[in-house]
Amino acid sequence: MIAPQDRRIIRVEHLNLIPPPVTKQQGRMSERKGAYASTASDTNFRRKWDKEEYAEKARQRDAEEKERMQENEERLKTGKKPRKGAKKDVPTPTELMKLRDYDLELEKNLNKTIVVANPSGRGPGQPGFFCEKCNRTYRDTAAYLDHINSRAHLRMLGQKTQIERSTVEQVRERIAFLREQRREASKAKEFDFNKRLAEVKAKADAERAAKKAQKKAEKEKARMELLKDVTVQQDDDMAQMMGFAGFGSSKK
Amino acid sequence: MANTTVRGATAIHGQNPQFLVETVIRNRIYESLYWKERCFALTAATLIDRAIEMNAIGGVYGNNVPTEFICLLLKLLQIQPEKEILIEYLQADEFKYLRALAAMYIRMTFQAAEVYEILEPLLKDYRKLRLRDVGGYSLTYMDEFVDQLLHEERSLTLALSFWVALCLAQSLTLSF
Repeated sequence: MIAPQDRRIIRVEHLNLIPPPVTKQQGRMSERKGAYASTASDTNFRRKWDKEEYAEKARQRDAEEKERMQENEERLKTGKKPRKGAKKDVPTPTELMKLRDYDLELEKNLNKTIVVANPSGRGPGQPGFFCEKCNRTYRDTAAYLDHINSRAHLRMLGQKTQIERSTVEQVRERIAFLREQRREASKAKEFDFNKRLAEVKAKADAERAAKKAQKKAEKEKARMELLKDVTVQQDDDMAQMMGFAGFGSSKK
Repeated sequence: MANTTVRGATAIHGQNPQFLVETVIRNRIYESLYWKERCFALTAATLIDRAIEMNAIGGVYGNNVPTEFICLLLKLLQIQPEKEILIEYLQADEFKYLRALAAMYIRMTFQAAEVYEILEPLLKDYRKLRLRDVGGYSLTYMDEFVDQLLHEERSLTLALSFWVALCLAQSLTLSF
């Protein structure tokens, strides 16, 4: 049998919420060692810093900075401007500025509600438009388009900022191609139209025939019903009156 | 870059060809979505694709929103195609908005005598053109449009070259 004063503890145990056992002796003033000398183990939840790792990072950073400074000194000697940040490995532009041959899909997520999958505040999966090449997020289409058209982005793609000069031949070819395409399109449309017309006609004919057959069947059925009724009734009346079973009509 | 005039372009009427479109409108064009999204890195050949998608001529509409026509016109001024290419544009007669675009460009950039020689045959083109302006869409005709180009100093909210207009007026009065 559980004593009434123990009942509270048992209930808590059941919920896996065991409070630290409080005894009157622990709470006494005379046994405290002060806040800083506490041997309590309830600070284990705090994050442990890997000092070695961060020291290594700092060392690496210092080395890079030193290298940059040395390089800058050399650059200054040759009369060039010092480099401000770390050297980025951007491909040298080799091709001319190219037309985007894909749709940017700026309105893809318009009027949609999307859960932000990436809570870090950086990288892909953030609200807005993300440029994978340059690892940047832009809040609106205007900023995104400005970036996509910018020199920095083109450099990442390895493109120059000059466009190709079209020749007269290219223009002629393009016009001929578009002319042919348009002719094909109009031809296809015409063909489709006739075909569609025939299809519609066939469908309408079939429907009409089915309707007609159904109507005919219904009519026949009603006539038979009526005939049957009339003959049965007539037969009964006459038979009673004249005292025999029927006239033996050939009609059914 | 996206908005700079092509390298090695010749000055037209003594200035950067893009300046033929007034600053206010030009800046509206640079800001517009159509310019940024659809006009980026167009060449004289790929511009035809955009031109045949057009369904109206015009300057600006609504609250100074540039039309596709004027965006492509600025693109032409920016890339400055050769004269032969522009003649090709004019000769592609099934693409009437491409022809209208080329006619406008020729009027803005060429010398008076050339403008007259090139644009006069277009007075025989009686096809309809849709015109988009502040009040909405209205109807005009190719010959009407070309006539306006030959006679007036402004068209589609753009100032055309005054000197060319003057020379044209003189040559027209002389010829009649």
